[in-house]
Amino acid sequence: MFDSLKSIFSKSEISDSVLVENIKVDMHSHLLPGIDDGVKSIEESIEIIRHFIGLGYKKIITTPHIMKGTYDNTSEIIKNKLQIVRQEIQSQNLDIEIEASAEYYLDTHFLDLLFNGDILSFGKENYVLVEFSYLQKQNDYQNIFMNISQTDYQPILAHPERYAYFYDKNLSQLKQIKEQGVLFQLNLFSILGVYGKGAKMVAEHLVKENMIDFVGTDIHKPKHIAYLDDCLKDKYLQKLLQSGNLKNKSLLS
Amino acid sequence: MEKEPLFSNEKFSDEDINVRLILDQYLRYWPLYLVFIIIFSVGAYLYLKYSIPVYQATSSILIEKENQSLMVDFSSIEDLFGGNKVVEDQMLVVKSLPVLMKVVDNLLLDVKVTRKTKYTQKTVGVYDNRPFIIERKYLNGDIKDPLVFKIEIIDLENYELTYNDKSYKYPFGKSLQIPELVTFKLILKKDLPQAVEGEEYTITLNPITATLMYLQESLIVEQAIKSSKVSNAINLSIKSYNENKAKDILNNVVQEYFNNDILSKKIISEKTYAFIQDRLGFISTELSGVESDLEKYKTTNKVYSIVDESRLFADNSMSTKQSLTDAELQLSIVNLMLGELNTNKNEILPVNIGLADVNIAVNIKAYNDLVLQDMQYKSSVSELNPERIALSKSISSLRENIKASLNNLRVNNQMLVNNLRKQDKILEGELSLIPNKERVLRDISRQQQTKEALFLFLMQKREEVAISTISIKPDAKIVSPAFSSGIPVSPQKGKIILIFLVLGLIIPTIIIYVLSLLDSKIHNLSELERLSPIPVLSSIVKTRKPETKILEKDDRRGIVESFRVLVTNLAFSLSHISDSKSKTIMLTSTIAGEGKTFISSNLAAFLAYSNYKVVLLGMDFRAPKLNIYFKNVKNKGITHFIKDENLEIEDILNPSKVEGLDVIYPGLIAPVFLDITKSDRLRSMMDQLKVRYDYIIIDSAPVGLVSETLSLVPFVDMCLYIVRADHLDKRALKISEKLYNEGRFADFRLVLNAEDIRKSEYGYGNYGKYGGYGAYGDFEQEEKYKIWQYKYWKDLFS
Repeated sequence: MFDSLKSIFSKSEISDSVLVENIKVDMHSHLLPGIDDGVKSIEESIEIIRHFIGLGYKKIITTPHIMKGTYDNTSEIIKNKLQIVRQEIQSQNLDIEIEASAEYYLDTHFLDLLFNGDILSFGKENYVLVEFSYLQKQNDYQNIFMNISQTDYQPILAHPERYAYFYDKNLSQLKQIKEQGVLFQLNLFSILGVYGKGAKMVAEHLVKENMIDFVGTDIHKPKHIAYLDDCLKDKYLQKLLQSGNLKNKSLLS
Repeated sequence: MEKEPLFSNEKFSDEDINVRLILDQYLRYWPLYLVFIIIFSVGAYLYLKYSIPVYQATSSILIEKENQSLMVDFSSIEDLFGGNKVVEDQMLVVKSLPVLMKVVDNLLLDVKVTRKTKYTQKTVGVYDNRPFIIERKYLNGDIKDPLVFKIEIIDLENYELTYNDKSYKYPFGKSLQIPELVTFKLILKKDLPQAVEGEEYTITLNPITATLMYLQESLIVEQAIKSSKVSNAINLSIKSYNENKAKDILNNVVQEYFNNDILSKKIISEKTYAFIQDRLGFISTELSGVESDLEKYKTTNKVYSIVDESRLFADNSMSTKQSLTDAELQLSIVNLMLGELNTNKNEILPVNIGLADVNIAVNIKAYNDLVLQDMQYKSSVSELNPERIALSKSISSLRENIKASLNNLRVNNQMLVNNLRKQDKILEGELSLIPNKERVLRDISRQQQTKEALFLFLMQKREEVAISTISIKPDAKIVSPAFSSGIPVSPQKGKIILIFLVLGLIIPTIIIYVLSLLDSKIHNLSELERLSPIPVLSSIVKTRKPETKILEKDDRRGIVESFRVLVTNLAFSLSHISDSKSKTIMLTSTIAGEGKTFISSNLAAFLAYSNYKVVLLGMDFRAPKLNIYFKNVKNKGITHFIKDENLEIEDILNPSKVEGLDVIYPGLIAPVFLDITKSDRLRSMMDQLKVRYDYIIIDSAPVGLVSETLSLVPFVDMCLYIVRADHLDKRALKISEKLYNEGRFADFRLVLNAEDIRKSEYGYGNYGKYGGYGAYGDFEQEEKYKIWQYKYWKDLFS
């Protein structure tokens, strides 16, 4: 009885691995231990990586915070940490590719790095993942994007759905940013509402308006792994994953 | 250049935003609305449960004017008066005491029976399902005060009666007496549907007069109006806790009104009949006298003149004679009436006995109505009753009126008769050929004719009265008998619920409105941006507990992020100054307590966290607070440095536990501040600091209070003007505007302190409220108070 019911449901469901086929590369996570608010140890790091492998991910581009005064990471520090994690992956014989970039906080320090060419970008397009404060709008963000656009880097705004000060009527501020040529990366967990109802609604709205270019987990802790399984069942996300608009796969080669 | 597009932009979007803001302002207090709506819903429920339903019965009767066969046809006169006088009069009759008196008596309305309901213990009236019949008889006329008995049915034979706190056991059917007041009897009904043993009732005997007054007040009698035209129908309505009681009362009122009408008519027609009968006796005697005179004369004088007479009556004087006969008939009737009026006192006057004057007939009818009313009062009301006194006054005045009219009529008729006689004489003079004997004969015979005409006339009237007496019926008929919809007129469920709900919405709205009227503080960033023309640099969010220390850089609370944003925004704002040059930032505010020292200390710390070399200058000489944030205070400060030329800058620099941040304290509080700020030593100090540090942060005194703040202006690259949310009055913003407009500072920005982000406006758009602002990796929501916690409400109204 239960088995037959189960089979009915599983027929209508698309399996996780099929969905992950459309992602393959996670490009937002905090898996380098001890250098930001992400994983605390190499063990936690490996636990999460194993889960990624289990779901069918082929590559991880992990992105520690660079935020002056709070997480004073440098390209040097990040590269060193990446080596440690890579060694562990090798020693455990795990079948996944890992790279490191950073999630840059948009302040003057970032502009300094940009002008000095000290940026850890990823992909052929020189993608650089950037973030704002969740709390308050920065006054000159348009100028910052203007500055970036004059360089060879292609900015990706991390989790645009999480900035409450952009929750205006038609998301006009986010649209304006999009028009400036900034790509958008959706946090997969947003669709579950774990960042709040507002973030969930905006996420759905952005998906509906085809404004999402990348998806990422932004995973910080092993205890958030369960969210990853849950969010793959969401119909908005399923639609997005099957739409073919996502650029995640292009990061594979 | 910049202002124009800004202006038009604002104008376009402002209205849209304002409606939303106003709505949000109220919606934010939704728990208050919830509480009030719950309270008022419970209120409405209790109100409906405990209020006694009131029913209304209505009925209508039609006054038929045409049917007043016995009376003179008044319709022409009513038209003259313009109103429907008859209907209005009848409305008075319907509500008149004699009619209501009968109703009270028929239905025992003075007896009220109540009992308590089983669960809700509310007192309800019992009317048509009383298990017993009550009989009561007042011994000494009306009682003065209500008599209250408590009844408990013991068994089918006996009941216990409690009166004046004493209980007696009585058998049903036996009358008991309250001396000098009332005899009273309860008869248990037979075939009661259920057991009545143990049931308790309260029986109240109310004074008849009070009951009457109450009934008169509560009985509503109105002229029916249909499509703005007054009709001849009268609507009656009454409210009662019991539908059947209301219906019974209405039906009884109508019945008694009819009875009353019929009775009056009977009295009048009987009186008229008697009067005519009486007159007929006289007239017939007189007539036979005249007839015998005529006979005698004819025999004595041997006049036989039928031919002559017929000739004479056929000639020209014929019409005159006819008129004369008529006039004499009228005169006789007037005399009859006058005689009647003089002999009887306050009795019914005969009607319809052939008076040609319509006015008098109307007056007589009115007079009769009053007399009838008085007769009915006699039985129930004493002569000293003001209403009766007024009534007897109007009776006698009307009587005088009629008498005067009759006298007038008599004089007129007398003159008419005289004139006609004179004319007749002249005519007869022309006929003087007629022998004397015949003339005498004619006189006698005319007398005989007059009497005969009167006699015949009265005979005819008598028959008319006799016939109409048999066929007396009321002048009204029932259009619809008493009817009640069965739905209480009060309380009206829907209306009550609506009223309570509306109150539940209006009261919290008023509370919030009043609170907002009393509230003159600034609350959030967007409000500040709206109110002030000065650019706002950033805002610092409010913490649950007031912070009084330097924040750690890896603190995960929103306030830390506020400072991070403040530093970022500051850096962008100062990006026109090259990195290698030192930047001086002064913090001031309108009044004390807005958080200058807190923000300057933490701003300095966060700049230091970003690897800048920072010095914090405490220049609030009046109320220095820096020592709260930095514990290890050295003895020497700015004032020492200025006074003592031997001191080096190192002597006043204090390293803090934050790497890269040094602090300079104000030093001893100097008596004359202006000297300090003008001094060359200050300049030298500033110059030295500029060489050593990337940022110089000056914590100064409130600008509203102290003038030395302004003398620091030349050193300053940017002034941050601190405005504390929920603290600074909106009107006080003018002070900052003045400073801004004077343009003394190279750069002037507002910083909002202690903004309560949970109350801020963003996130209210289409996407709900901002769900927590935890740290980057964590999305655990901020702890929320539950709605039943005191702190929740304290928070809501803070």
